[in-house]
Amino acid sequence: MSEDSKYFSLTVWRPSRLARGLAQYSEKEEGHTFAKVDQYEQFHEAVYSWSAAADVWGGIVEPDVAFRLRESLLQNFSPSISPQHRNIGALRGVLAEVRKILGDNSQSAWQDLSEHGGEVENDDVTRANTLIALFHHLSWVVEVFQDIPRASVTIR
Amino acid sequence: MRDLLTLTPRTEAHVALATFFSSAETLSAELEVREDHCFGEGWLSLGSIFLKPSLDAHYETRSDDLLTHAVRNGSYEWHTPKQTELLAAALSLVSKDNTAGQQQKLKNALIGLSHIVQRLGLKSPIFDPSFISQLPLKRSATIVADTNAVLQGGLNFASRNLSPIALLKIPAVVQMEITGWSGNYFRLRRDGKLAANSGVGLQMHMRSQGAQRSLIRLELSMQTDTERVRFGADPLRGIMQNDSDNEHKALNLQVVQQGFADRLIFETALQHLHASSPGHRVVLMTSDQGLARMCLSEGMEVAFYRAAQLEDFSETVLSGTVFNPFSPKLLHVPLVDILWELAVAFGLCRIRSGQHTLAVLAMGEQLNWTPYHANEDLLWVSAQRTNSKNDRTSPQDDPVEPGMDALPVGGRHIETAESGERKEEPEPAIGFFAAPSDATIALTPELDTQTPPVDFPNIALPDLGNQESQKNDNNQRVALIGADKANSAPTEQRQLVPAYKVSPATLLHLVQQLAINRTTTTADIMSLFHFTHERKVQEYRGFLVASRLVNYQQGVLTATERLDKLWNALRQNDFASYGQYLCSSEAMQLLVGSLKVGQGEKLANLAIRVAAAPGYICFAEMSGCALEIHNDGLYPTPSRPVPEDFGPIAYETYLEHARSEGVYIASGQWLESLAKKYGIHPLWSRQALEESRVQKLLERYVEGSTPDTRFAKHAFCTSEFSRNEISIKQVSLYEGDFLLPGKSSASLRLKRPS
Repeated sequence: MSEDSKYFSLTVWRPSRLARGLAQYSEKEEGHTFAKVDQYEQFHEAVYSWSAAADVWGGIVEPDVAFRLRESLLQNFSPSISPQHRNIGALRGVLAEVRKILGDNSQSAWQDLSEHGGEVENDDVTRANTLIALFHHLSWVVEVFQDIPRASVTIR
Repeated sequence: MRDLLTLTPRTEAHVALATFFSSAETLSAELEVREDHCFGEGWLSLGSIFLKPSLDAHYETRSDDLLTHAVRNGSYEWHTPKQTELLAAALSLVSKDNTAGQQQKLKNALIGLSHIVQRLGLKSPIFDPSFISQLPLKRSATIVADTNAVLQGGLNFASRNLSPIALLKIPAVVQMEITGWSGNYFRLRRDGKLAANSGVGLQMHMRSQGAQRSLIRLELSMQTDTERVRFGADPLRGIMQNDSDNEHKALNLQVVQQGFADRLIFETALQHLHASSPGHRVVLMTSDQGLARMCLSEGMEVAFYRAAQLEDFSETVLSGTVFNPFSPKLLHVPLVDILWELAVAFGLCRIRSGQHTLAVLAMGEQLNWTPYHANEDLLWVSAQRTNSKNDRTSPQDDPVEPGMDALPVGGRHIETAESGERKEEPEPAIGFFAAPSDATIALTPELDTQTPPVDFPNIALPDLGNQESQKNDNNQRVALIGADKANSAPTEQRQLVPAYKVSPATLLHLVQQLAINRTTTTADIMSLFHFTHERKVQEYRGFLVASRLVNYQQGVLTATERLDKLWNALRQNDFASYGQYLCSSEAMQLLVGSLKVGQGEKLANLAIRVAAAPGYICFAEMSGCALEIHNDGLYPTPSRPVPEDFGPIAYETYLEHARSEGVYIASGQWLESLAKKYGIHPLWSRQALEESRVQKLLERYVEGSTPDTRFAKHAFCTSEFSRNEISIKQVSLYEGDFLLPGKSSASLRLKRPS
């Protein structure tokens, strides 16, 4: 996997609760347009953001499985998808997938990582099964944010 | 035999634990706890620990340093038991009275395990999203913790993730309540009432000692700034009252008036808010819904979190390496921390593998305590090895570890029994979450139906741990003869063959030294390689003697003629000759001889002990006798076809992957297929391909491309003699510089001459 493909960033969003009017400058119309009150729900604010330095897919033994899971996550939690289709509950499906992989001993493994998270060749090694760590972290995110109405998730 | 209990600082116990795993020759161990009054002499199993040390890049075996590194840096998995099994086991230890009330009390007590997991940071408390969404803090704030926040790990979470920008404050009434718990526990202990009230006694022990440890560690930690907030003497004067619970009346327990205590905690936070500068946030941390509502109604910020449940601990796989929830970094929880927490919460904790046991003790009749212990985080540690050949017993069959029964009266020394009939433990289920045994069905349906919310229901024990733990660990370096060595043959039918755990690089270096100096001694070897234990030298000596490379007499190793021939072959990189010297030992012949062409064998199923296997595999690969394919298995490679025979095989294998002529395929794929299907080692395939090309039996075309990093671990061991130094090298099959040295050949195309 390339360095880019090891990057994992997750953000939890909720519909914004703006107390006051919002102005958006638009060059095309050469002036200001003001969002109406009933348009506020199209704005979402981040309530939690997290990224991993370590390769979270490194715990998956088969590169093809890691690739497929990552692609599936990126597609299903892309910002271009409507928030209701990438809600917190949808993360449970991801957890089920990860759980399935972890349930098969031959499919996940511990690996050597550097202190800053990447794979290393020297002695300064951190050892982790990042997939187990990711599973617990995503479980925590689901548990914490599942009660926010219309909360959604994006993954990059 | 008497083993000394040693007062050991937590920070120095890593080495003892690494030594335990090294001596045990297995990387899995059972984790057990005991409350000496509540459990009597029985031990409660809390699951298994699987250590996950690193294998170095040169395929060296696991050294003690790597084990220490793994122990210190959280490279382990903790497979926890199912809730129903845990409760049933605890119930069988504490009482014959299997009532619903007793079960509930026990369950209340064992929730403390979830608290421990959260205090350690193996899991984070489930906070209210409104609190988490404001983290990480951008301005300094004060977090006032209530008693449950101390007990359940909320305070540790803040210390770990929010300090130093968050100031942590502990109201005096929290200290008072925890001290009250402790007083109640010790009163019952002194009066001998714990055994008759095991459920409540265990809960008091776990709560009081766990919470006190949490406060003391935070106070003494250099990284955390905690502050006690005084709130006058008068309001506290009448806060303690007799426990009104009917079942507890006879025990004369003292508890705080809960509503009063909550109010005092709230008032403490309010007082601090008034004393703070404008804009400084004060947040009250609690899992108590009543207190949280009081805060909301009176305008105080609250960091509410869900009270931990026993389900949070049940049937899951915890990792010692976890993600920091607010930064990209990983957090490590040393394995020793688990032992220390459990020992404090229960009194005794031990980790057990085969005949080897490492026990940590925090409480015992004859064990003293001074503040110095707390300052240095000292607990009593005992490492033992029993001499019984039947090494594994279930907690029920073997409730008392030899020596532990003598602890309460034995002072700082504990006795170990030398004998005793023990039953073989039933073979563990392959699936970690297998159906409960008969012993666990006694619980009520209510307890049985509870399932964890989000955990791994299907995780199986790692092969290594499972296989290892089933082997007879009688401290001999054994290899098992037979096709299905590890699993099938009864112990008495297995033939024992010595297999030695050596690092290939170190062994070749030792061969070089012997070829030059002719003789060496144990002391010389220890000095040369900085070995700290003589048993390591014994491993190397054993390998050399078994391979007839040295003679060993009166403490001196003398090089033989075979060693000189091996050294010459190594210097000339003549891999075809290595085999007759490196692969001649009985264990190596057994290893290679038990493999079948076309059939990969997993490391855990090999005919020799797992700890020694990596070294033997490396030598087999160097010699062209076998090839280990990543995530597949070890394949024998005895075939040496002449070019006339190799040509058709090579072309057929190429076509299988390419589907049609003219297509390039990964050269590593081709090489591995030849090894798997026809038993031809890549070293030989490379040579035969070149000979076939010269004889015009095959046309070979290669193409360079960016190596596919997915196959970076598809490599094999070989040696290299350069600049008068011998070293072990990993040759990657997919990187493209193997088939044609100096030329990129990641992709390959074959053609039959027209």
